[in-house]
Amino acid sequence: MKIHTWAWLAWLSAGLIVLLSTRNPFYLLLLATILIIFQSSLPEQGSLSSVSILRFAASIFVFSTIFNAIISRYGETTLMTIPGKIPLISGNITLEALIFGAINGLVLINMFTLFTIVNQVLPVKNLVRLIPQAFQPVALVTTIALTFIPATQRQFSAIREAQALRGQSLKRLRDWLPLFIPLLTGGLERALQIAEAMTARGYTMRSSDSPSTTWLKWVLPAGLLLLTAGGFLGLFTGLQIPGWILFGSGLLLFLLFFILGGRQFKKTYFQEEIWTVPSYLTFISALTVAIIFLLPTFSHNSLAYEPYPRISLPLLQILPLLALLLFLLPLIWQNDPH
Amino acid sequence: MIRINDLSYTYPDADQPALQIKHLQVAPASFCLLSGQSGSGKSTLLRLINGLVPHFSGGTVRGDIRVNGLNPLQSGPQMMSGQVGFVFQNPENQFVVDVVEDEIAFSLENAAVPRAEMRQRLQTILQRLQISHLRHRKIYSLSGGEAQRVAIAAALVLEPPILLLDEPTSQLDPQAAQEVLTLLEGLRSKLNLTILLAEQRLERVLPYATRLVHLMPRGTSILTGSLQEVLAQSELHPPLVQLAIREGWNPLPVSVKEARAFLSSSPVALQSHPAAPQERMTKPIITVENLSVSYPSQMVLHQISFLIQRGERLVIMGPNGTGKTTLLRSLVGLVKPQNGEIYILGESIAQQSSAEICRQVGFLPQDPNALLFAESVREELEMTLKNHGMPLNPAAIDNLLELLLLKEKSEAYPRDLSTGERQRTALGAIAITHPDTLLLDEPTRGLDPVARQSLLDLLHRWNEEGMTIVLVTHDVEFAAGLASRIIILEEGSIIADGLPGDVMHAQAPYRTQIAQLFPDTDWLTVNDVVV
Repeated sequence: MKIHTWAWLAWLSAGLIVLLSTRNPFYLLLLATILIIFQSSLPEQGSLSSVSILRFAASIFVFSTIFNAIISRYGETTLMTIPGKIPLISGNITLEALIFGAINGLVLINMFTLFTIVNQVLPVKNLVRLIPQAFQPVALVTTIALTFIPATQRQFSAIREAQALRGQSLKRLRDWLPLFIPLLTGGLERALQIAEAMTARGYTMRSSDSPSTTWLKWVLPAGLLLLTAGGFLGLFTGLQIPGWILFGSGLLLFLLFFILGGRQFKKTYFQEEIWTVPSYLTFISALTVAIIFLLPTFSHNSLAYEPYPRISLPLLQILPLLALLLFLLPLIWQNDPH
Repeated sequence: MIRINDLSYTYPDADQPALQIKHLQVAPASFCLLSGQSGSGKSTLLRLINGLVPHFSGGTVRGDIRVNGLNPLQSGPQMMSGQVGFVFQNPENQFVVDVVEDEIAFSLENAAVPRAEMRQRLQTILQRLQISHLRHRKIYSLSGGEAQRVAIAAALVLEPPILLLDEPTSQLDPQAAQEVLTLLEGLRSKLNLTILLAEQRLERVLPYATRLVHLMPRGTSILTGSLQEVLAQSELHPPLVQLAIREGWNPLPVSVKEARAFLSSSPVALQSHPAAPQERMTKPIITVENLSVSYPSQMVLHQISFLIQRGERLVIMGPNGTGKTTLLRSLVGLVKPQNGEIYILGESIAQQSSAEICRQVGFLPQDPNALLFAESVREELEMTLKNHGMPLNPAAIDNLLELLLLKEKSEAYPRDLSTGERQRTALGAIAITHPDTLLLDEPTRGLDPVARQSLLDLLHRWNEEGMTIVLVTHDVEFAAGLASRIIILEEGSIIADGLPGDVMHAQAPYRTQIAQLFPDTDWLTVNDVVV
């Protein structure tokens, strides 16, 4: 059963709110586990296999932990000392630095897995159709950018194979340097081909009854000018009323731009997105998670965590733990063929 | 329907125009074939008609062009989408969304067609192109022929009076190509559609075309007229036309049916062709035993076994998606088999890396661009030698460049070269190590007949010097010109394996024009015909 695009975006936002509001390693670890289970339960798509995602997540975690342990000299629990006077390297390796790096790693894994899941469950066109009609050229650029990433991934594996055929192993970074331009060019070529195909099929076509646009292009800069002028007057000269009038006029011009600009690009949609019960439940669960992690009343004590200067056990509260489990909710419907 | 007068187009920063047309007129409901060598401007002309050139590419256009009463230079490609449907060479490159019905509805959404009408139009086009069963399929799961039908449906759903197609059959197997062309002919007669189709393999399209436009090299001028008139003047001749010119048949036949009329009106005594000398068989250079390869969702190769003898010219053919490319990739270790063994010179490759295997076996993949990254053609060849730890021999590099007709381009940036030149550069980068065996995956894709002939001559020359050639292709005429043996793969299994004359005559989709004309012989090419 399909979940509405806005419900998915609410789910993504709730995840990002959790990542921004807590450094508690238990919460982050639980979230990472939930997201990895979620991602592994989705049908595989091309190169996005669960094994490769797990491998990538593990490498981020290890790299972040070791990197911070080596470069940070804070913390009181010394695990070992690297002798000598090598800049950045020599000195004490502390447990606190190790844990701090691990927490950073968990945040990165969570962020990566969140976006990977959204990328798997939401078609690009669903995201692009959220862009206001007035910004259709922006929608075109967004689609091209979104196409560029998988195209570059495919180009990457094609180049790696092709170079293996020519005896090149591509193990070190410097082996890759000469391939950077062809890699970039190949991805861009593919993205441009898509853009060409979209244009040839009427994408960003202005409707025949659209108003004249010659004056419309001045509306946006004029609105910006009025907003800035209004803000300046209000904040720095004490002329509150003229300031507010200018500011309001600027906002009105913005609104005018959106309405008239949108009229130039008339568009209909073949598939109608419907707010189903699963969509509502996903949205409400995301809202609940966001409230629990944003409002101090619910989980204030356990969200903040700092391993420096001496490591201590993070606090745990039941409500945030239960809230995190809500991230699994959409999985009930996601793999349902009906 | 399309009228062009005194038109010239020059790409940005180019010194010479890419296209110059004095006068061209395409009548409504005609099936117009656009021919010409690589770089003659076929794609440019198609893009001018729908406005992608110059709106997308930039550059300077001079002259007058009218398409169904509109000027695409003023209207732009978005507005022209209602008049002109466009099918690109590689359907993959034009698909924007991931489900068939959404893909077809994309143009309707952009034209703000109401949802109810959209559903009706979608239903009609799905039925018309006989793809209703594909409606809910994911785009990536379609075969080549299915994908091309969906691309045509997507281009026609706005009901434009003109359909432009840029080499739509170049990636299709012979049967799928014929189905697509038959479908186009049906649409033309049913809907009065004007079709303009660019193609390199003229023998495929000529029987369906009503008119031929031939672009001269570098777009300097055009030949236009009836098929026979233009064929007589152009330099690109499919096998039937070559035979007709040799035998003095007039007017030139464009289909096997027309050529048969000459045979029946003036019966000729067919002499038996001297038997081809038996290939000298030595111990196998490659042995494939019970090879099975599967991808997560499907079995691609199923328990196949065969030997490749030293000095053979083996051509592997079969429908799209039947496992031909996977087979070649398995032979160089890029794909690990689930079962079975591959031996090269008696040694299993199971524990060898692709780089190690490629010291003995060169592999040219479908897309030569993936191989090219050096600053010059010469450096590409040097890079391979360095990677394999082999000595740089400037004389050997010069010789190979000369053989590949790339001597003058040796300092050029490879990605600036034409399709054929890039293909030859990639071939050079693979062949510079003088591998015992050369594997080539669809090397004629995008090549014009002149470049194809030059590649054919080169492969014969290398084979005479002792190189074993294994080639995957959909190009039956090229296969017939090269092969000493043919294998047909279908659904992951070998269904035919033998001499080209026997296999191609027995398997209807793989018959060359000459094989169709002389079904009681084992002849395949014009050179085989002894009348």
